[in-house]
Amino acid sequence: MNTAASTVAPLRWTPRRLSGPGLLISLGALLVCTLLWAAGQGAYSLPLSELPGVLLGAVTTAVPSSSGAELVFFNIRLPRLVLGLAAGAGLGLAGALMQGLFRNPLADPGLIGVSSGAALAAGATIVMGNLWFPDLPRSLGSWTLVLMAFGGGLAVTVLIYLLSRGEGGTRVGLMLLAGIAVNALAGAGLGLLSFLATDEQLRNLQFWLLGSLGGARWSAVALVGGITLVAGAVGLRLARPLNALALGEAQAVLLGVSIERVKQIAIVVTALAVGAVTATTGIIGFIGLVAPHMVRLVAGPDHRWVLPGSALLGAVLVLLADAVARTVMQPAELPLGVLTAVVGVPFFLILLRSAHGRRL
Amino acid sequence: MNARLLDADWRSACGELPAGERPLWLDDDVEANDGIDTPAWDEGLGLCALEVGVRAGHSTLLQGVRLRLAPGEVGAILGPNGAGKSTLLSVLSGLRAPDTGRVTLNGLAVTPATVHQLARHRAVLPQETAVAFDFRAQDVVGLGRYPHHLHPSPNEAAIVRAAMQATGVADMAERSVASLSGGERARVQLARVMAQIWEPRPDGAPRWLLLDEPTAALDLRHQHETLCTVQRWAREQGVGVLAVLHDPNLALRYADRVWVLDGGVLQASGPPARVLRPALVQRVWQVQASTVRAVDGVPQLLIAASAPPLPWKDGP
Repeated sequence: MNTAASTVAPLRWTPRRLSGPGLLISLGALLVCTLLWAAGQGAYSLPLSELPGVLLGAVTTAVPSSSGAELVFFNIRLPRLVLGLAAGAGLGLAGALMQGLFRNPLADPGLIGVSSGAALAAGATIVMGNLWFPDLPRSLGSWTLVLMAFGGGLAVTVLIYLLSRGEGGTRVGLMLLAGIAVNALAGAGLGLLSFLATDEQLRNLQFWLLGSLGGARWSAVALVGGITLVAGAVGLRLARPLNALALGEAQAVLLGVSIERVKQIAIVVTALAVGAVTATTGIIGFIGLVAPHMVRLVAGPDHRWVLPGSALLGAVLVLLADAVARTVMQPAELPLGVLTAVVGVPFFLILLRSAHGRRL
Repeated sequence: MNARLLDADWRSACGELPAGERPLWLDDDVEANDGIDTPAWDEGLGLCALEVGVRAGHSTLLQGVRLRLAPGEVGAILGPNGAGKSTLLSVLSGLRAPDTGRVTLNGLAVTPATVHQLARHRAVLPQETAVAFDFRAQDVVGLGRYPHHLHPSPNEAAIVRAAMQATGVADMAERSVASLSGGERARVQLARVMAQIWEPRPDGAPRWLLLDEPTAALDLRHQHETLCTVQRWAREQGVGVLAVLHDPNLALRYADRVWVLDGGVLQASGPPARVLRPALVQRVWQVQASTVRAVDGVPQLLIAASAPPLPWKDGP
């Protein structure tokens, strides 16, 4: 036996963490850089040097200019950037809320059924829409899809919430299982719909399921942005209660947390934010799961930093993924859901395998 | 001092007893003396359980349990496994509503409806706490300050440090709780609940510390250090401490008052040296014991081996 080795005390190395404010400043700077870079990417290339001119032009001249750069920027590029920002922030925040609420790092916003509900409703609209709403004009038709998906997401969330109600409040473990079961059922419904769909409908459905910011119009941006802002303002207030909840529900109650209210607020905020995002963009996977993890690995688990940090990082990830999606195969656009996984997973795996990840 | 008088005081503090539902007292019962060595009983400034009963389905978990503890005292709840000790503690902390009877703390009703208001008056150490996510030890202790986050003390960080020093975990502040040993984690949790009620209340109301098996994960030295710490805290700061203990010798050394539960029914209560006698120990735990004195004169129990029937020898 090697005596020298046995006398060496086990090395307990605690990696340095980024401080909370430091994290938010870094992520904020990263977000600004991403926005500036992403603004130039796309079918119509818009070099960074032209951007100040375009922005200044819009501010100084009262009459909207009809120059190509300005048209592209304000009608196509900017709404898309804002939609990506809002969608990423909403998904990141919702993921952090759900992981905190379920005290489980595997939780993601889809667990409470909002994504699968939205997908089922969207699928039904795409496949059956012509039967149900044959008279709708085309412009209103796309709004039908958004509203149906939003409503479907909320309805399934309410169903799962009611299923998990028990004596003494909402049972989080039951909610997790009910969520998995109802999600599976929604998946089956979606399977049936794709079986019934025509080839064109199937393609539309598939496209929707993989997510895209391509449908960015200012009206949709306003819907998602507004809801995300409200969700953020309310959701960020849950930071301290979610920290206390890390000790378990009983201890959180003994520390004075109104546990049932925290659960309801977290679920409502998540359902609204993810519902609105999913309804306008389709399913953008992985952001809600990965962003909070990355933030925790870098800055620790304090929700006062994890919640805003996840929102910022979610926005960065979605904007990056979308910029790549619309440039790599020009003029075609790759589905965003494919890109969020491609951008997120390798980075995530590297972090998991690093020193930080060993303590997960 | 007159026990009858104190009994009357107690009734006025806790409310009238329902007639004819008195628990069964043993010969060792010292209930008549209950409260004699307590300083003057201040109405509304105590932890009171009155005829507490809890049922779960068809089984009775607790029946007719009476308990009262004055600020500055250390109380211990003892009893065999499944006697209802933790159930009693969850009723006393307000997590669980009793089916019969009631609990008051500082004159406030303790129920699941009022549990939030009590967070600055009492802290509860659970038997075991699994902390989700990778919090550092000092972060966990800091979570104990949650009830004060709207009106923080000017020295929040100092409170966290002092609480960690009190339980001897100050040098682990930066370490992840997941990397600590079971005993170290238990002491971090104790520091957390002490931090929760570290400062005296501005209105002078007593603070309360309820501990569910605080010594279960600890080595011999830390068992004694921990109980010594909370005992001194009780004496010097007027905090009322109530602990579920398994070791009668720890109760004999550190408790001012003990309650012995068996089958959900209070078997005896009073000063530990008068309650924890060989006859009661034999009756409740079915082990033979004799009383001896430790070198410092504190009575302790010596337990004789009692072999249970061995199923692989006596079984069918």
